[in-house]
Amino acid sequence: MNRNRLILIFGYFLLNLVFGTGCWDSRELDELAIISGIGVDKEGDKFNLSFQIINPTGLKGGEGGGNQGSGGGGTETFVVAQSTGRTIFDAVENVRNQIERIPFFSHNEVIVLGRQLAEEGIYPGVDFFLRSPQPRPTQWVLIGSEKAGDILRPKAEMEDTSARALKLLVDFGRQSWVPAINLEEVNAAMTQKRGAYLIPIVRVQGDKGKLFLDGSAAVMKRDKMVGEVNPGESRGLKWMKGEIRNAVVVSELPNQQGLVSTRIFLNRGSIKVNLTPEGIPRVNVYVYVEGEIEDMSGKFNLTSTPGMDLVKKQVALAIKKEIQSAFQKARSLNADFINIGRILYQNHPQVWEDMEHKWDEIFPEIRAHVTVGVSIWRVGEVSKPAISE
Amino acid sequence: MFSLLFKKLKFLQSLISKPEAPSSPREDPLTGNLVKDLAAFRKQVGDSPDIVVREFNISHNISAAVIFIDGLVLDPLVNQHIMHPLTQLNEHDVVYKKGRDLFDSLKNKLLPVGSIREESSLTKTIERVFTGATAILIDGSKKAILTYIPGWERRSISEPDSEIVVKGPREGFVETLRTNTALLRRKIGHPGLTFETLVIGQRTRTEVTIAYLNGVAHPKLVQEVKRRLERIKTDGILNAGYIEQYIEDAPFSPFMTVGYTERPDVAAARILEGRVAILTEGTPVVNTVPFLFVESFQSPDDYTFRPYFTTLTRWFRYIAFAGSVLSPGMFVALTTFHQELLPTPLLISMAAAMEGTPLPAVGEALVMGLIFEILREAGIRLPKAVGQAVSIVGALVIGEAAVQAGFIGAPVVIVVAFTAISSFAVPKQFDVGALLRVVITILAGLFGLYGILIFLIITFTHLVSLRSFGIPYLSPISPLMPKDLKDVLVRAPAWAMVTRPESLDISDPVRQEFDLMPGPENDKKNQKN
Repeated sequence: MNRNRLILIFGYFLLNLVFGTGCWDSRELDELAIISGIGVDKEGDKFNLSFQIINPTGLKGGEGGGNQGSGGGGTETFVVAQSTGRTIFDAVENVRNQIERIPFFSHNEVIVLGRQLAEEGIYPGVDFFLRSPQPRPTQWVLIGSEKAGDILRPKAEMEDTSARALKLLVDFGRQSWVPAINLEEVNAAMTQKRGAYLIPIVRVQGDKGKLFLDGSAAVMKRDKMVGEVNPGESRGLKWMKGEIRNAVVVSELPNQQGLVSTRIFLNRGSIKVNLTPEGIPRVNVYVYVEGEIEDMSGKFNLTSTPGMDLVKKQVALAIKKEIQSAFQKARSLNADFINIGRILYQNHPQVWEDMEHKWDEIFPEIRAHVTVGVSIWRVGEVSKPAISE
Repeated sequence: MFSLLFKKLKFLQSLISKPEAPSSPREDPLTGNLVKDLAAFRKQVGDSPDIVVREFNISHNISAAVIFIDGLVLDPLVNQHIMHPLTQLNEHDVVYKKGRDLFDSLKNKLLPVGSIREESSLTKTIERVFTGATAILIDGSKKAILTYIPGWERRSISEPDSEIVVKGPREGFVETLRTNTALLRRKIGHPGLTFETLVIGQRTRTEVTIAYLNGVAHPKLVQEVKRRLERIKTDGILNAGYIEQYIEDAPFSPFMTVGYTERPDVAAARILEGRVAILTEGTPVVNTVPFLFVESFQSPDDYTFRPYFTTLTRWFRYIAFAGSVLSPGMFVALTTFHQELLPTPLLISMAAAMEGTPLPAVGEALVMGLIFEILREAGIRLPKAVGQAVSIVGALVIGEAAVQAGFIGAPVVIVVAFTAISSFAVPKQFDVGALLRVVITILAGLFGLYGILIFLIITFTHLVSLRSFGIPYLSPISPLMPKDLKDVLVRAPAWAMVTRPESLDISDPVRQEFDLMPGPENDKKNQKN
């Protein structure tokens, strides 16, 4: 083939490349409705979607200098649009009747699922977000104490959007109380036939609508909510998993000597499932924590070995109590959110095969033995309290 | 594509009548009759006012003439060393015989001039006179004496504006070839430094000198340079830039394959590495070949500052070049195609800044890029005093006001400003950078990151296929020559650069001894024992 012919052919393809394709997926920034938070509610047999959409004009006006109010879009940093549809995507398409821009899910920070939806089953509510390439699988999933739409409405005081504030609350809270779970993990957790999992519950408090994430969480089995745990119980689970990074344990000193608060910054935990000779599973939980004394109301000499041992013992006791309460709640709800079934399956697959179909009967009978090791690294600047015996 | 066009041009050229080749003057020997010779001379050169023909009698009525071009010779010296001895001959007691006797005496004894030669052809004589010689024609001699007392106005040696160093010599090449060769000689004392001269350009008769280090530069390279220079048949070479275009390997490539420098120390360093330098009369720029891509990122200061710092600055230059080529394109691709790749707070603040701007991102980037290029171009050509006004108008009025008025988003201004600054960090590849930048920006606007990637693949394919005088352009990176990376990825200390660049394929690869690392005397001894 001669050179000219080659160039012609190459040129043809090059022209096709330029004029045949291109631009089809181009979206200017000002054509996008950047969604920062989504609320999914179920109303009867319809889905009600709330979108928290960032309003760039509002952000621009807020920043000093720029051209104030040129866009005429008001000063709200975000707007909430709501739409209903028979499916989630139906609702997503319907919202385009109200907002003039293309919904853009890639920067969504949280998905809030309404309580009603959670009780009826969250799967139809999250399938779109798992299936679509835009929403990130790492965004947090939360359950609204009431309707999800009401969670997204209040303004955040410091952040641009309340969704971002919510995300930051989860980011911080997951170091101690909050059993944070993201979309991908929810998807994985739903596959378990016998297990359960927790999704944190977010509330709105007060007249001004302050968002509140205290660590209470919904207990989910498959995709349905079966109960609720309180913050202590959800932290009990986190101790066992060794997920605590920054938590405060307030423990009582004996004989009403006061309280001591310890900040835990390191946590290791392991759950072992053994079988008794009778063939009943028995759980051994080992937890090790390291921390430092932050404050103490007792007149207690921490520099002495017996004094320190006492404090350690009290801290271990407090942690143990939280762990036991988590077991208690799991048993009473008959929801294995500690995932003992899976651990059993991993260590004794044969036994699990026998037990799987009657797990709901066996699980409430399981007893746990908890061992907590505490090591205190620092007592702070005060070694001997000013008022001490 | 270009070569197709070029073929068409060739075809057209063959259609129209061949342009008359510049009449090559035929050899016509001097007759020995002064009147005839002068007449022939006048016939050839005409009657320009700067041609001085001084006729007089020497040694008792032998007529002679001194010919020179006013302005090309040093008048007082010509008077003192040529005119004076010649006219004094009349008072001499010795009477020279017309012809050989007088000619030899003049040549050997009487003229106190260093550079002297004889010439029997009138054409050659004229040629020499027009390049600064003073010719002496004597009645009865079939040869002319040519003396060289050149003395035209020349610029003094000054620091080159284009390549400024902090720590290093301040001298730069000038327009005079002789001065330039002298500057090189002063840098390299070794007799191996060889100059070879060619005359290029039928009309301009420009002297072009190649310089190389005998025994270091590859003989084939020297030959190739000569071959390429000899095949230039054109009427004029006014600038080293002309030569570059005739001898480069890839004439249609945006990348230059012939290096240039205004600094004798840089040229000397290149010659020491085994390269060949090409000095062109009338240009303060010296070309060096072969030229490798990595040379664009090297600065003479790199070798005088400490190695850690220069390694760092060299990496800054790599980053700056990549930034200057890619950043507007990346910006456009990210904001129009791949918003999900930006961190959320960044996206939000960019969305806020771009809100309400009338142009799409690619349009903004192109317009701001265009404005920058215009500002730069205007700034270069204007006198210095006005140039400042341009930059003020550019920076304040266009940058600030465009954002204030909402025509252009602030992020675009930031990106373009970053691009502009980083493009100056690698001055050698400035032109390519500007070109690639525009193409990449347009492609990013059409195809996003996909377009950028495809174009980068094409560019790199082109780069690895380029050669400069037989040396792969991207060497020592591709093909990889690990030894040479000591001056690419890092800048090794001087004592560690033992070998000359392997990529240049030179005759003598070892530059210095191996154990030159400085240290206390005792330790050295211990090491040796």
